[in-house]
Amino acid sequence: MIFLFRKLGWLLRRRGREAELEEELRSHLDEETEEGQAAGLSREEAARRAHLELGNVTLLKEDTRATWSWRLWDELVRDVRSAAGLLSRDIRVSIVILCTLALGISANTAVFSTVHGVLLKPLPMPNADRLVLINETRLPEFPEFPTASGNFLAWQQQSASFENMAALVNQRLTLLEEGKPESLEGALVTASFFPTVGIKLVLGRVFSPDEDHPGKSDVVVVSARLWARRFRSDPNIIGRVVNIDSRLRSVIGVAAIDLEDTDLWVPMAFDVAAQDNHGGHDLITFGLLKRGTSIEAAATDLKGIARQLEASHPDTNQGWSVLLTPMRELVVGDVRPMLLLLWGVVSLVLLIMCANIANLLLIRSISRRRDVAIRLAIGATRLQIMRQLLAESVSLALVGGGAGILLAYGEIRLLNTFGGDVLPSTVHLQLIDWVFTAVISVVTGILFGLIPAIESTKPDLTESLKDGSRSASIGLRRRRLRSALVVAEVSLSLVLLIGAGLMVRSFLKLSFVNPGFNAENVLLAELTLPEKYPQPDDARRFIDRTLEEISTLPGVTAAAVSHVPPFRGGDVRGVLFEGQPAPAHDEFLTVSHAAVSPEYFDAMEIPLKRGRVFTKQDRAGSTRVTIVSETFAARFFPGEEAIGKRISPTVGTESFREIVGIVGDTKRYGLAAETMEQVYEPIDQIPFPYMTFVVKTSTNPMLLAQGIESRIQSVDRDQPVVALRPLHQMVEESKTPSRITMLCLAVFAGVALLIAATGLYGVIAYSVSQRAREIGLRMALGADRTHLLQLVLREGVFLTAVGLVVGVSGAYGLTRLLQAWLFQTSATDPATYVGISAILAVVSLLACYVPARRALGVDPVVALRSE
Amino acid sequence: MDTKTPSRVEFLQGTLDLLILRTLLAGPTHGHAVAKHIRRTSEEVLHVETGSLYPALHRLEAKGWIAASWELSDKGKRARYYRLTPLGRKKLIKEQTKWEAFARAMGSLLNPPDPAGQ
Repeated sequence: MIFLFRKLGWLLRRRGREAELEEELRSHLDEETEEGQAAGLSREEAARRAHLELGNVTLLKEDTRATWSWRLWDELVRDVRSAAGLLSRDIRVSIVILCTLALGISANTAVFSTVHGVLLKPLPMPNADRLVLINETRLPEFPEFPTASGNFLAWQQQSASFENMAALVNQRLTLLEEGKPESLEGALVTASFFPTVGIKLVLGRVFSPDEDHPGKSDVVVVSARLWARRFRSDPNIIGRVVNIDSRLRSVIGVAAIDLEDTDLWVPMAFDVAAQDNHGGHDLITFGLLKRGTSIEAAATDLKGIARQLEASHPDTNQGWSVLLTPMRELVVGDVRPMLLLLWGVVSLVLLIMCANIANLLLIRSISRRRDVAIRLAIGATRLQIMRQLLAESVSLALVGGGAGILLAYGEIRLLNTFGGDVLPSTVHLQLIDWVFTAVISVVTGILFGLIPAIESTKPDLTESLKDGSRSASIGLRRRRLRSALVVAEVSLSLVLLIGAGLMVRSFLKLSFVNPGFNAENVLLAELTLPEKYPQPDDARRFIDRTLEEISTLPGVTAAAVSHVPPFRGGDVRGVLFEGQPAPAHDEFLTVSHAAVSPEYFDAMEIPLKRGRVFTKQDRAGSTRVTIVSETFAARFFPGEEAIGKRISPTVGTESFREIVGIVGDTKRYGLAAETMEQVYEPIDQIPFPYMTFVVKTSTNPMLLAQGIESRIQSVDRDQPVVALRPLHQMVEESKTPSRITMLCLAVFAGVALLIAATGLYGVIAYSVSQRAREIGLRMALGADRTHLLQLVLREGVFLTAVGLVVGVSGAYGLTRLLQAWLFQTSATDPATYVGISAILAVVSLLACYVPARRALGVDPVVALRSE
Repeated sequence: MDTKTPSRVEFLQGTLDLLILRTLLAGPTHGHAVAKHIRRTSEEVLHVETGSLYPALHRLEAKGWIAASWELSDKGKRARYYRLTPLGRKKLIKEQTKWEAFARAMGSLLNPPDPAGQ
């Protein structure tokens, strides 16, 4: 090791050494001369003898220099220098190559950085690798369902696989502090939550098991973020009493966790009823695996307990099992497939790029043919020359990579800006990404340099040495090689283009889905009534007054309320039909349920198909009524009139409501999701404490946001509004993942097409220049121009055709992988295949046509004289 | 003992290296003085060609057995002085031992003891 350093140090001071050696030898000569003089010789004689004695100075210097150098390093440096020289000679081609490299490598680096930053980053909780999410599952309707408290407690008592288990319910809680109400993300958690998840405590303590009981649970843990923001990091916060949802709680601790936005934790405090509850599923449950226990073993364990519960509680637990998912899967599971797709795409682009550059280098290497042949003739080994050529291409690639990583910074910025909703965390370029760039640059350099290097050093010496040689065999071999490369480029590009085309088509289909309502100019305001409103009448009064207040606001066309948000939200219930026997527990038909005010259908512009909508007469106390969606009517009352029939959307207390109207379907769960059968009830007959106000406005809804919020607060000063959003924005945002994937794929495919087109252009241009003489001759002999054009284009057409065929077959096989992303589009959609192939064909032919046309424009005399 | 048989060049190089190291044991000197010393001490038998001396000095420097610096000679002129490093000293002892073993072996071969044991 020290040897290396010393050698390096030596190498660095080489120039100084030359001068030193000079001086040393001169001083030697002086000494020798003086001695000679001292021995009685004349100055000239002494000097002459001294020189003689020194011997061959050149040889001496050579030998000395040899002791300074390190052969391998020297040769490498020389190779790199010669590479730089070549680059600057052929500056235009080099710039093209460098730009292509920068693009391709930067894309790869950006994607790698994202993949590595998102998929491999350790989760912010210390126990993350042992943490699993436990869902209850009953196939096929409920693949991932929340847990019922009774089941959770049974698992906790009986399972031996977990160090700890915890349950959580997310709930918005209102903090009333210094007269300002604020609605915050809160969670009800069991006392075991903190040790299970492993949250860091900043101050105080977490819940003791005693506090996790009803009556003793007036405590709260706040987040570090909230502590800083609302309590100014007051060190005396422990013991302070705060008003949360109209209940006074004492702050016992401050905790820090990065993952969620939860600001308040209060004890779950299961009561006696909760222990027996095996049918009401509302808990999110986790477990911390014991060290050394695999997730499969734990799953088997819990499944065993679930089976016992099935036997002991057949009416609630029949058919219910468990599903364990590791924590990491939750955080990245959604985004992993998309990232892997992107990686595949950029790798393909890199391959296309390498093929293109290899082609360019093959062309360039022809001019150095003679050079290489001479070197081979005088004894250089093939390996040495190949090494030099590879050093050149790797240097080129490294320079391109350097530019690429700078470009990658910009690309990562773009990714963070536009992909912020989809990615679980922001991405930054780290050291390992730099290393990756260096490695991939070297690999790329070798990839595209290898074929030209091998080809250039094939031993056909005599041919190459001949002047003006147009050797048939070399030319043919090279041409075949380059044709093969171009065909590869074209077909790979086609694969990418078809993929992009499919994604575009899918996205367009998604954009044109009719959601069933009009999202324009609709503002949503979500809120939850605290325990201050214990009776249903209190909620009713609040709703009535608030709707009144909002309606008086200028610019409001209609004001309504729904207990669940109209989009991306829903309440799923079983349904019973009057006159039909109640089905067994595992055969319950589930529908989507919403309690709405009469103006709801108006505000959302959901069309009424038959019957009527709710009116003010449909109040508490009057006949219970319900409205269903078209799909509901068609599915459950095929061929008959649904209006007049009676159904019950509650399980347990069967009170039947009469269907009075049928409205259009809405895509409540997302544009791509299946339309679920929908049941509506008047919110006055079944008021809930959580609601979303739906306000139709005449202009931009956000302009009225503040006004609406203040109206709500004029009804109740302490009532915070959770979220004020335009419905239109929510619907648009739901398309974001598809949009991003589509855009990425389209951009890369476009780049690939460009590269392939330039590749094709290059091949034809070169081929034309090679045949310049022939063309000139033909023109001089009076050949028809169109005929000549055809002759020249024949090669290009042939290459394009082969590329198309290979590309289509490849695409046919590969696009199946995309099916998961495609909405209403088949992975082998013929229209897309044909359309994209046509586009590629046109572009390719254009790329061939331009050089061909130019060649024909040349004066035949000039062409004949060319060599 | 070295298992590798040194080539002729290496062998000669090795010899020269040994001579240089031994010369420097007495104290730091410059190149010219080293050559003179070897010549004189070997009673004019061994002439070190300047053409081999300087490359050898630089090679030893590269290996770290000797170190060099520019000093003022006793005549007031600037000269490159070489001195032995601790590593070089160790090497010297090793090589000298090997050389003495070699010399003894040569000696017994050339002057075999009288079988009669006189």
